Amino acid sequence: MARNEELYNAVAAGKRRDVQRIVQECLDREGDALELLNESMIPAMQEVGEKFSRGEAFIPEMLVAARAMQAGVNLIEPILVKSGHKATGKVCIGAVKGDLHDIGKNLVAIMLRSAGYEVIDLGTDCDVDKFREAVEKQGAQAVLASALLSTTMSYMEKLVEGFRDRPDIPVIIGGAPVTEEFAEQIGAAGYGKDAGAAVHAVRRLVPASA
Amino acid sequence: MLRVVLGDGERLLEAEPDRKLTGLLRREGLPLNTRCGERGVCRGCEVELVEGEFRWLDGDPIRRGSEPLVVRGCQTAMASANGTIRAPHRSLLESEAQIDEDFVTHEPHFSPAVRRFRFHSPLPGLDNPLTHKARCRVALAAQGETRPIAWTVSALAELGQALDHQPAEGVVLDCHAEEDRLHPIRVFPAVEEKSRLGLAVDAGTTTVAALLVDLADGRILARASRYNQQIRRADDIASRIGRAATQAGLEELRTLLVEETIASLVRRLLNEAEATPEDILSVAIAGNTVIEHLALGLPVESIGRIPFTPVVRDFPSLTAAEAGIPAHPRATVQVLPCVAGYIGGDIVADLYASGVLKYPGVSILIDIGTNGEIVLAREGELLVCATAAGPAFEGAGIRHGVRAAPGAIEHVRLGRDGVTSRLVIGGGKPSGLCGSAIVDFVSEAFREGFLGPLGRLDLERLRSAGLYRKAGSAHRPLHAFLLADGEDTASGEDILVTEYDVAEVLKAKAAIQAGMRTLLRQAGTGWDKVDHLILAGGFARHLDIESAIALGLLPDLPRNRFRVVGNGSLAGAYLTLTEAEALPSLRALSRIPRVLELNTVPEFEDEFVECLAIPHLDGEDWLLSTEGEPVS
Ligand code: B12
Repeated sequence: MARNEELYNAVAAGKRRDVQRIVQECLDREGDALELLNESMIPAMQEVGEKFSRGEAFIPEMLVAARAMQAGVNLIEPILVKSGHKATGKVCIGAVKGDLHDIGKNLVAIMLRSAGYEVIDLGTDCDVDKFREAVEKQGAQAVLASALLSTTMSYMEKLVEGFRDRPDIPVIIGGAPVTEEFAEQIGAAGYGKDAGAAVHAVRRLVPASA
Repeated sequence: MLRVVLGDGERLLEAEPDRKLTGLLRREGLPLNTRCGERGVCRGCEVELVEGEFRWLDGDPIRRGSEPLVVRGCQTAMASANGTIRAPHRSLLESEAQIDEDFVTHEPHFSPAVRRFRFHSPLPGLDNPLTHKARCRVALAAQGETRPIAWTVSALAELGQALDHQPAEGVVLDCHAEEDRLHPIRVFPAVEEKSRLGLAVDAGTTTVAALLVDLADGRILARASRYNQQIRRADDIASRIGRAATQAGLEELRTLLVEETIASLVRRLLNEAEATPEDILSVAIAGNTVIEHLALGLPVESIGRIPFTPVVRDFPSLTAAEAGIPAHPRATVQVLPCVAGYIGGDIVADLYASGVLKYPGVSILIDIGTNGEIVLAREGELLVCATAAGPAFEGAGIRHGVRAAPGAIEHVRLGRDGVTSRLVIGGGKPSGLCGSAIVDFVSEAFREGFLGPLGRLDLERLRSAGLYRKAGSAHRPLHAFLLADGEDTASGEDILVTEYDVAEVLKAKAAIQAGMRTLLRQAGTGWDKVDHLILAGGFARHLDIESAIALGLLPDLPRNRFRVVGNGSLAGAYLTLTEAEALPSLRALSRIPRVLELNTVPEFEDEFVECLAIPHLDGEDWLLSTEGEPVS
């Protein structure tokens, strides 16, 4: 199926209103909105993510595109649920205890959703128990943690510690002050310097469900 | 010996093997930027190993090929007797700050809390056996001063001496007057002419500024400023909070601020004014909540944790001896009251000095700095927030960013073919660009079409104008605009602005603009209703308001609504010394604001994204940015 160029460009350029209009028109016609999502919106978001990872796009563009994407997804969501759409895998994400920054975390969540994952968003200020609950009660296959403060970064060590008995659950960390060295030092399974890298880490560490 | 190659020459240092490079350089007066506290997590202290043997701290030798290798100075030691390293300018911690001691205040009403009484007390007779203390009270009462006097033993000792050897001219009593009592500071024979001085301090996260004030007439005798030496350990507030988690860390930060920064400024001030520490009778300190706590050695851990509460908001006064400040030991030290964990005495000082509460209508006061505090004032009500803009406007985190000091490009103008003019502080060849020039650049480059609304450079335009440069590292290349050719710069290196720098500026300005919009919305009002926009903080004095509006950092209001007040924090400390009513007013003021935690307001995120574009996304009828092109 062909992609809708107009929608693709609107997502990539972050034109929220155009995205909403095109999706809404499709819904009004009772067209295949899922197809719009899979063939146009997700590839557009992935393209932005790739560009970002290559250093050809920066946070402003990425956030603007993600917001446009989210606006469209919000319209399609009810249909997604009804269709029993099957996700590639299920992960949980949250900002660690003491940290209230969530703009970056939300961006990572959108990119993961664009890559076909079901994402349980635990919000901000999450302690180890909150992450464990998402794994044990909701079946998350990986834990993603975000920290934007050098003071809350150290909580990630506790988080890794808290999952020591679950080697099957990779802990993936990120956020502006977090470095690959730090991730190695505390024994986290994965690290991503940006939202695109977060998707790669999840792909590498979470076995795709059939 | 260690040869250190610097941007403008080289130094030869005594060096013994096995010492950390950061320690070596610090000892020799070339401190590197160890903002993460030498934990090896930031890149502040990076140096290039050029010649000689070196090893990692854990003992492993460093292997390098014939090419110089970039390492962190805090993780590296020398392993041979001689070696050569290159210390780039960005890794050196400068110790002289830009002078930021200018301010405007409301019309001051000179009435210092330090009061001087001169009296001659008749010798008591057997019929009238008064104690020294009673003689003093009687003498003051004769001058109409009836407040109780809160004597300390050490002050009484001086009173005894002075009255026992009272010359014909009488004695002088200097005291600190509170509403309901007097606190004697010193007593001396009136033949000794002693001046009474005050010390006002603005203790910022990055810069500390101080004034020496003559309390006889309010004149400013000397001014000085210096980097807050705490940056040797940690450069932002969050890392300082982390550093102060242990008792030893807390004490270290207190010492770095009080002894290495404030005391060193006091010595400079006294030298210039030819005065002695004993003449400083009153000290007022304003700063953000964390720095104010650290100045008193109070723990700050709780400010770093939800719900960000400080130990205290209204600081009790103490003596200079207790505080460790070189002044008369009984001088009063007053730290200005703060509002909340991220709204400090500096903001209360801004509010007081600018007199904003007395303005009719709606006013907004912003401190465009790292913490980005914003206050909305309306009919005696105050709503405040902190937006955490980050240090981009202070030139930090920007490739060729520098502080607004001599050598910095302060303003830049662009035309169709590139730079048309630039202004360098102090003249001469530029060493980098400071915050105001970065704001100019982004808005001008956008107007001239070099830059798209989301901060992407038009590479075709740049190439054909000969302004394109490639920057960044091998694994993360960056497109850059050539602002000054190496031939024209102090270091001989090109001065560039990269797309990454632009993104940093956009994030910082988005945080501030989004903070202002969120406050307006919470207060149920809008830009059209704002009568005054007050810009506080050192950065605002350099800022070109037109550029800031074009960038979308400030709103496009009629220009007569803008007011630049300069260092309001220092102004507030100055007024605390010179107006007895200042402190009670500051206390009252600190209790008015309602604090808005931005993370609890969902619209903030939306506004932040909205404001990331130049000037902002409103209406979404902005143009597409130029298509990205891979760097090859
Ligand atoms: C917006 C903002 C806020 C907002 C947050 C709103 C919100 N809903 O998130 C508000 C105003 C509430 C705020 C509050 C505070 N902030 Co703040 N804030 C910022 C700001 C301006 C932008 C952060 C941001 O959103 N960036 C954009 C996103 C997209 O980038 P990102 O988060 O880095 O995410 C990317 C990657 O890191 C990665 N990633 C992120 N998470 C994850 C997770 C995984 C698993 C992976 C793989 C990848 C990944 O992918 C993302 C996309 O590429 C920065 C300064 C700046 N100019 O950057 C300061 C900043 C982060 N804040 C700072 C501070 C100090 C604070 C406060 C403590 C104090 C204050 N008010 O000043 C409070 C603390 C609140 C708390 N306990 O968390 C400091 C941190 C300093 C430090 N070294 O720790 C900064 C750097 C500013 C500064 N220099 O002073 N802040």
